[in-house]
Amino acid sequence: MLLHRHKSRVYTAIYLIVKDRYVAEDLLQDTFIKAVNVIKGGRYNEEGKFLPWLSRIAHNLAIDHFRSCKRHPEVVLEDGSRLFDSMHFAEESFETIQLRQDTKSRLRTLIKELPKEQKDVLIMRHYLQMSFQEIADRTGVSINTALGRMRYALINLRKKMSQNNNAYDKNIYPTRPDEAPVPRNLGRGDEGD
Amino acid sequence: MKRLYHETSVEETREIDKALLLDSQLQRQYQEMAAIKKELDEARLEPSDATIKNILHYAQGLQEHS
Repeated sequence: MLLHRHKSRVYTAIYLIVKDRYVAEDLLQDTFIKAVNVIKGGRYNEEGKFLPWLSRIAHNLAIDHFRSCKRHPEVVLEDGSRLFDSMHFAEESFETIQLRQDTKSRLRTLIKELPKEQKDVLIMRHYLQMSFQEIADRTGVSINTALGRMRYALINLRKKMSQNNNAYDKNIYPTRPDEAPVPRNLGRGDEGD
Repeated sequence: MKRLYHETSVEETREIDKALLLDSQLQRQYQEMAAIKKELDEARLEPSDATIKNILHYAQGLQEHS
């Protein structure tokens, strides 16, 4: 029950830190096995705070892995798969690969491209569901700094998503200068910033 | 941000909601943030069935031994 409720959030958070779906699967498994061991061993004493506790385990494992990878880097592609796992894509056309990149995967790519401080807060708040106060304590900053970083993370994502949408549309509907289309989302994207 | 993530007290929520009603620019910014928050939810990934099965098998194995 708890596994099914939290697996997706925790898995996404781990993936966004380690940027490799296979490693994220392993670390998700390690996270829940650690949790099960503590619970079965009668050492669980975080009453009513299961997700924040689970999140801390997942975050620690992901950060440990990320640090060890910095010492032994591997080639991982933008979608989180490893280089050799994608060899079968080589026969597909560029257009097919482009179409595979839907909004969701583009958003995940944009999250990974955020400045580290913003990305960390976003993962911890949105996917690991830590409170802003917990994030501030964990990262050694004030709560206002944590709130500010989250705000900039969302603003940056919105901006990049709208830029990306425009570029994406141009790829699907290439235009000649004499066939310039009327923008479908006039006024969106760069207003007010 | 705190309002967006439901971390405000009842009183703070009331004050912020009042401000949102009176300030259309603030309201627009809030709606944009809420929209991207929704997209973040939709961008979640699912782990493979094999991983879930491994975890469940492990937990069941422990239960049988205890």
